[in-house]
Amino acid sequence: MQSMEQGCTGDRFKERFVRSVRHPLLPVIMTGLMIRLILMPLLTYAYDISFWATTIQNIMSGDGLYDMPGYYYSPVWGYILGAVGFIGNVLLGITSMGGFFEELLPGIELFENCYTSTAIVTTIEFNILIKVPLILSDVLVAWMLYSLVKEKTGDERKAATGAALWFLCPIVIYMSSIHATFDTFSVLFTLLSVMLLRKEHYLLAGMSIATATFTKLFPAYLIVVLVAYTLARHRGDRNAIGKNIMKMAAGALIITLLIYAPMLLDGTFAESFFFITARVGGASVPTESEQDLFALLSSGGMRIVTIVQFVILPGICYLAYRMYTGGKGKTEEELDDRLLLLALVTTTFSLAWVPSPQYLLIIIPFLAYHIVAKDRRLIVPWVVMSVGAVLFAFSTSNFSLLLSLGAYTDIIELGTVISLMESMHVPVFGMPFQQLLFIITGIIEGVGMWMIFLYIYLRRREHVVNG
Amino acid sequence: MLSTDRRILVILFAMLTVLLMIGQGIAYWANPNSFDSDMDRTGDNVEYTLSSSAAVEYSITVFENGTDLEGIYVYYDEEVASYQPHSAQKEFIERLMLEFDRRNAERPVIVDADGIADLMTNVNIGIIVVSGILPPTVFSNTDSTAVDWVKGGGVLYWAGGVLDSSYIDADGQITMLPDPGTRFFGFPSVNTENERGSVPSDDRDIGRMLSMNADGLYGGLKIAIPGTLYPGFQDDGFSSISLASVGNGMVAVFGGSLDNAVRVSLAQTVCSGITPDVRGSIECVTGSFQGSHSGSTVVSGSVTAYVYYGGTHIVYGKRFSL
Repeated sequence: MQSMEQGCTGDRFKERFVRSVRHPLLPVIMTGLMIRLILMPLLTYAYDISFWATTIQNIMSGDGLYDMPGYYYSPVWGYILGAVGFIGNVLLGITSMGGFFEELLPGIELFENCYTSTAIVTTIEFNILIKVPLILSDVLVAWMLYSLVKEKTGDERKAATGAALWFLCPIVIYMSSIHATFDTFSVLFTLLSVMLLRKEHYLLAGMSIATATFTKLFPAYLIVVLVAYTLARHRGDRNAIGKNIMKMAAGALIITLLIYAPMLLDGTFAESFFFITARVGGASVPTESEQDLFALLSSGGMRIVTIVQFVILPGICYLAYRMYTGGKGKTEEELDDRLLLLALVTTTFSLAWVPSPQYLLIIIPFLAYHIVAKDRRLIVPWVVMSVGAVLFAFSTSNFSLLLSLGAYTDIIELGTVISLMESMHVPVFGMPFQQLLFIITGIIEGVGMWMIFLYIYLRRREHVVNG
Repeated sequence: MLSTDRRILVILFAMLTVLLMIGQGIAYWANPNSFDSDMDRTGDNVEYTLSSSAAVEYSITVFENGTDLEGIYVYYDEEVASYQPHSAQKEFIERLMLEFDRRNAERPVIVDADGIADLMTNVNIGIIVVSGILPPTVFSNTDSTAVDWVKGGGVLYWAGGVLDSSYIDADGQITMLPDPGTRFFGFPSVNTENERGSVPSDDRDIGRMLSMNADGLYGGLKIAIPGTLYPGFQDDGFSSISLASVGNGMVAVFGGSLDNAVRVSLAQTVCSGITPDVRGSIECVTGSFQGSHSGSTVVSGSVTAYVYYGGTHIVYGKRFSL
């Protein structure tokens, strides 16, 4: 009897193992992980990650996130760094987060305007430590996208392709395994909120979209869309509308209080919005050196970004209103489609001013879904945008990506890395090559983004023409 | 088979929230990191014990002729004009206090313009000035109280402006003075150009021992002033960090703006107690450990030992007078 049970359990285990190995998502995850594992120790954007080291240093000293300078974002990523730092320094015994390299000082002023001016270079083990949670977040987003596409299309292959369009997307790989920036967590919470909402878990959806917003601001635009979806879904049922909107609001409030409790108690609440106030503040102050292209782009550009919010916000509200009014008589499935379409349009529209490439990550899951489920032609903007974004990111970080390798290994000399970084500043057509590349790649990224609107317009026109 | 089951989404969200709360707990409520150090001298033998819950780099610097001050003060007065905006001074001082906490040093006492005048009757203290200009109660074109105090043995730590380049007149206005540095050093000796140093100065080894990496040259002292220690960087004949002997006292000058590197370099200078006279006697032991680490070293005469953890990312420090 016992041996029969053991045999059954063994068969079930074998069957499950075989099914897992043949799972269409597995090759996607394995390929993506392999690429990331290769890149992770070799290339790192030295500038941003040096701030993550300082943040962990401040946490270790008991100074929280904002008492000392070094961390300028809302607290979500800081908390993740707190946990990661503890794992690295206490559990894994990583002794050094980075060091000061005097060789980099002569170039500091040359690199000052392009975010490569740091003399602190983080160690390779620290770089890996920081990137691991980002990669795990990438995996979770891939799984959620797989689940979403599979549920909507019932096709495992399409679902795996959708996941691949996220997990193997060049800019997604770049941001987690090279740049070490935390936008992937914002995407994770955003997608989670959309999926929770579709499952009518309004409290957690509210909590999740608030967490996404406190990770990287831009998901805030989606709140209007999520509210419109809830209104449309429960059209005519005032009680359900009131109850569910209240649940979402309560969820958002609860998580806000949870996340911000320390800042509310120690009076550093305002500091946690520094990344907004500094940029908007910077945008309002005219720069003294407007002949400098970078100063012009960063101050003038931020002025434009601030001003276009007066178009973006009403625009998104209008789209949400259209979703509500146009959703009359639609099935749940059709409302779902509208939610996902509007999520794509909103995320793209809110960033149509061509932002730094890491911000684009929030568009990718919704774009990937539409490529596999609705319109294959959207692969064109996916390619143009993601390749443009990687080149755009490289134009900023360029050969500083090799600094950790130059500082801590014999693979390349630090002096060679510095020479390569300097070579990016050779004048071409009257401006440093780095700035020229910045402009060209920024345009490519922008064209890719705007092409999304073009293809959505073409598809809608075809629908109208075809009745 | 994976499913988008509501339960899985809820579990995933719950796990992510728990991760965030653990991170918050570590950052705010229950810091799991603890650091300590101890030193015990028997004759010429010094035994040290270091402890840290986290894996850290450590550095023990031992030197003769460290500062022996009765107290450290920092000047801040919102009522008096200054070169640095008061908000910038306030923020810098608040963070400097936290740097002192990290280094287990007593926080500097904040004094106003009148307080600084009272204090300058005692030469056994150190005063930190980050306003970029000395208050009118101790310095003007006719008042040399601050200069006399330094020459008599006082220790002035200066950052955030050009020393001896201006004073506050009777109307409370900032008035420029010619030849900055002359009143302290006898000749024009302070840089007025906004530059950065990239060449290691003569005593850069000491700067490396103490992770003092400030490289701003605006307000930095001229190199080759006799009796001056230069642990920073230099360019165009000026140094980013200078510890100058003036009479029986000392002036430590940090070039550049009130930035992070200046704050850390200033905190390391004050909390370690280094002076221009440490040159020749200073020695350093470095390494890394987790848990506890002990060792011994041989010293002679009266020495200062300064321990810090974290290398470039300093998380702990402590000074011992042995």
